[in-house]
Amino acid sequence: MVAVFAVFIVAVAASCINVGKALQKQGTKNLPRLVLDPKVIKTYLSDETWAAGMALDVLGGLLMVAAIARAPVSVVQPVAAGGVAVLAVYSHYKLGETLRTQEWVGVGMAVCGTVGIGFNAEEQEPAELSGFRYLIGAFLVAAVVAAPGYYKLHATKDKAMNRLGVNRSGKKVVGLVGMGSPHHLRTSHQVGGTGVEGGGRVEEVFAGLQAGTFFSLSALACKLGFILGARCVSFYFHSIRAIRLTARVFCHSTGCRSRSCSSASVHPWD
Amino acid sequence: MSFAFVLLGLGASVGLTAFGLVCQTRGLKDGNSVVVCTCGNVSQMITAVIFGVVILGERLPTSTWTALRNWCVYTLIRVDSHYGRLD
Repeated sequence: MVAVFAVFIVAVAASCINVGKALQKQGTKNLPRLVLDPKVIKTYLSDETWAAGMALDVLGGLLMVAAIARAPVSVVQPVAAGGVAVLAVYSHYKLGETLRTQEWVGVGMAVCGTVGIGFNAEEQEPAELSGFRYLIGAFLVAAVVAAPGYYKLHATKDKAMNRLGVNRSGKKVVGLVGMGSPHHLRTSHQVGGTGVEGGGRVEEVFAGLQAGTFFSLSALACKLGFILGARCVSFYFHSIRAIRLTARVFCHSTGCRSRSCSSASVHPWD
Repeated sequence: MSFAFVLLGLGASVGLTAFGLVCQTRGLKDGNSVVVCTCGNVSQMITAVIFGVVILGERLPTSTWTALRNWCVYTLIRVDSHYGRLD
């Protein structure tokens, strides 16, 4: 029952996060590109739409932490991923981005999937965390963080080579898409987005993959903190119990010894 | 000590979320929100299941029927994400 409640909390949190993202997207239209510069960050914070989106995002994050403390990460995160359906519905009604029939089918499928996860969710005791598990985890985290960078590097390299008309081994390719025609004018093969913003499909995909990975890692760190904290409390209580038991045994034996000694010293002649 | 672990976990979580938000905001600024959110959600879902099972030792459903239902719902959400991405 707790896991089902946690799934419900995650659904609410995912709604807050996705509506927050839509508001942030709305807000960024009039804002400069985000860099870690105090002036730029101040401009972002002073924009009401972007700030409201960020506040909703943070609220959703807090609800997510509450859910992660009660349910497995492998249940919480897929439900959170289904929140894209809420984003689609919000965009349809509030942002004027009309959804087509197949997109409504997609929204329905996401809702069914989320309800299905809630239906399948079950209570789980945290497993034993060993050093080997930590080692595997460290490799896995490093690989997952590096993967989008690797993908971006290769995608950019391939596109640059395609523009030159050569493949990866440096050989000239005949009949390549875009050869003989001004490549930058083809809307279906644009590599630099609109050219004004300086982005592109690779950048979008890379940014999305990286953001998702970091959100996942964030949930993992949070859950690990809760698990290690609980382990520590349990270890503390076990230690206190062991110390009390040892002290009791020690006092008992000392008491017995002193009683026998005192009885021996008081009545040595008995 | 236990409180310190919880604080450490929450601190790391906030830091990683901030990194994620920076990446996401850059993506939203440069490109299509549907593509950015879709890729983010798919990567979030897949990596979370892998992390949960490998690092935290969470178990996936053991009975065949429950496992089948679970994979079906994962596929539903993933297919929904791809619907968005195709546009």
